[in-house]
Amino acid sequence: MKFSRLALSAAAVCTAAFAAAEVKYDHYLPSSYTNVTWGVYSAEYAPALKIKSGETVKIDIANSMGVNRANPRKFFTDNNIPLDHPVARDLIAICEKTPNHPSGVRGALLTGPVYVEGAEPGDTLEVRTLDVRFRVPYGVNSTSPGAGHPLADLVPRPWTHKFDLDLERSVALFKPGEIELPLAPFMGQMGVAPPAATGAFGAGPPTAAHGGNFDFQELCRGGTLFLPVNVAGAHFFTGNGHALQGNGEITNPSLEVNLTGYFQFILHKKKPLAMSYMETPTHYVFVGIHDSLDEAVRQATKQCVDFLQKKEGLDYYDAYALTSLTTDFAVVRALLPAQMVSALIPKNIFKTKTDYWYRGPTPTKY
Amino acid sequence: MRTLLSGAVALAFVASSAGTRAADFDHHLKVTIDTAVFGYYAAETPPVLTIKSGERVKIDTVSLSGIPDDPETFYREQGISTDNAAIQDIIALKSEAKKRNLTLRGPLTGPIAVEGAEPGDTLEVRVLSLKFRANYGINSTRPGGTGPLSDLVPRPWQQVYRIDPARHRAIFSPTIEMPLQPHLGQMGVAPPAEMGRLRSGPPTMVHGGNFDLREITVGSSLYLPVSVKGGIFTTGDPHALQGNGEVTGFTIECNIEGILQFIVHKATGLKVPRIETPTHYIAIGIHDELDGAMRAATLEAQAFLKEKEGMDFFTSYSFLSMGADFCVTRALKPGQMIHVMIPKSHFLAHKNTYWYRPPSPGIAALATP
Repeated sequence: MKFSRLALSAAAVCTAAFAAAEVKYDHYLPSSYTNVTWGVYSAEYAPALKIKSGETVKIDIANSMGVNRANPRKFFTDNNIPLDHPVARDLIAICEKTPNHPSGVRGALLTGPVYVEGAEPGDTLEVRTLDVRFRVPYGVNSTSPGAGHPLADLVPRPWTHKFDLDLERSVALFKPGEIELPLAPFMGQMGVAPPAATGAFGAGPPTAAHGGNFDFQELCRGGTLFLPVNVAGAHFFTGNGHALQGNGEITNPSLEVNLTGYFQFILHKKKPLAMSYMETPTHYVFVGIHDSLDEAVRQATKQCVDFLQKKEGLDYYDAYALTSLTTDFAVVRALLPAQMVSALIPKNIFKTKTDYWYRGPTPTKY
Repeated sequence: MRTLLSGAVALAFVASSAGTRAADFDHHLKVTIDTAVFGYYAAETPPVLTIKSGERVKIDTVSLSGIPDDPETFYREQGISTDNAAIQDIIALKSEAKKRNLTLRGPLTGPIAVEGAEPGDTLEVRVLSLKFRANYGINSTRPGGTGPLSDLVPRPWQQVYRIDPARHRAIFSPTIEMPLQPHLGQMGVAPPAEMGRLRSGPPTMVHGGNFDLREITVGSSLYLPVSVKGGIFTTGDPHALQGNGEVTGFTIECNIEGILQFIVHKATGLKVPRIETPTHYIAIGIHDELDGAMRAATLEAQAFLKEKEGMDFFTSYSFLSMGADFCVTRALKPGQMIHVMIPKSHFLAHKNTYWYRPPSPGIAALATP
């Protein structure tokens, strides 16, 4: 597969693969070098965009995986990608012009902040993923020794591999003609600024307070993320596009890609939230985050029990039992620090059906 | 010497009420105090049934979890009729145990010896049929258990649930019903003689055992490494359904009649149990810490991909990171378990020669009532 031929028709191909028409949006936030941070969540950045609750935003994200910051053009010329392609243009400008945070905190590129008018500490910000589209038909996976993943000590050297994507057939060509992985794109990072007192957060470990690097495949099209608001305006960032993801993400990066996300932001006033949680068309989702997976399971279990007690008026034992009987626990990030476990409570066990905003086809999953 | 109480009943016919699945069997193994092992796996246990490779065995299993020493009073209070074969088995077990002054731990029906199985072979166990023997199940939890919130449980607790096989549902409450996912929580072979008696609580990567893995349902194959002559297989711990994680330590413990087919694959050198379903290959990792289980599961999944596809370290590591799901099977110490779901659909050259063909799409069809 030749990149250049596909790149020219990428937009049209995405349309064919993922939706009949582009989602309507109120604002567009491109990943130009002034609209991104090198992996920092902080309230100190001037808003890249100001919106009202209920509005929809198209957000481009740039993913620098595989690109050498000192010589960004090399990756694109090596891989036959035109330097005037929007993604190449954005990434070259970012590498050359976007400064590091002075604290030295850094991580995956994030687009933002989106400032939600009226958001105050003690509110909840609901972020609906209306659609996710590919900006380029390739992705990059890599791993390296000593990086906190399960076999980090066995990895002999850094390793990077670029994989082509067939957007028309919606698969990643893992081994062309032999092994293909279905695409299910999502933003690995979605989060808000932490409380001002805590300073800048790096885009590495996710936290209960700001969300961030969930790397969670359930946050694809149709998913909803509920985040606690820590500062006025919330200051939402997103980035770290993934073409697909297995629960576990054992190599550390996933199949890193450049994506465009379409989000709706809804503010819930005076609803303090101790910990981010999610909802999908089929499940209520809670997460536990801790250096130890055992402790992460414990956190997630507690939240399921609390939720079921409140939702269904169950006593502690019934809620604990229902968690054991119906909730699926999976390892989302087997990555130190801040390993993450998800707990999925199926909606189909409740006879009383609750309304959910997403009406589209079930997102691509294998 | 133990005796096999029921003889072989050849070519009996079992039809599910759904009418979609039927399975014949070559032997019928009932569950009695003499045809079950209570709470352990060991090479020393003499088989109660010896079969040939390829034969199918109808195996009755029961759960004693939550059943008091006077089961008849318990069933009467619960409004459950004792006019039921599984309940009669339970009453008989309890009464025999009283006579013999025994405390019965979780009953594992068997052991079954498979002729010709030797150390270094693989024993494939195909699940042909699973049928509920009684329409109730019991869930319980207790303080000091082994789940993630065991320290927060103030007192022992148990609940009896009704099972409705015709509708594929377990009834949790008037407003909550759960889809049935029947499986045998325990399926294992004897460990090597030098390991002695293995308590049946924690599973191991040697003998299998207490996987509590709902994927091992009708249509699945469990591949067990043979450690002793004949394999010495037992099964029990029937579950009506299961959330991955099993955080209370128990699920809906019920009574199931399974038809299993046993196939010996000679000199495979399989070291760690594996599972195959119509749609997935499954690798497992077991360790007291989930972090250790995660690592063990990763290494085992890589070993599988190296054998199957000749993948080198980076290729399989990357493949698993992007294309497989790591699930928490048992968040229960000791013996926490992670299973890795590897979709068959990723492999374009995959020829679907697998033995099981689902009768119709959807897991509900697999839940043979």
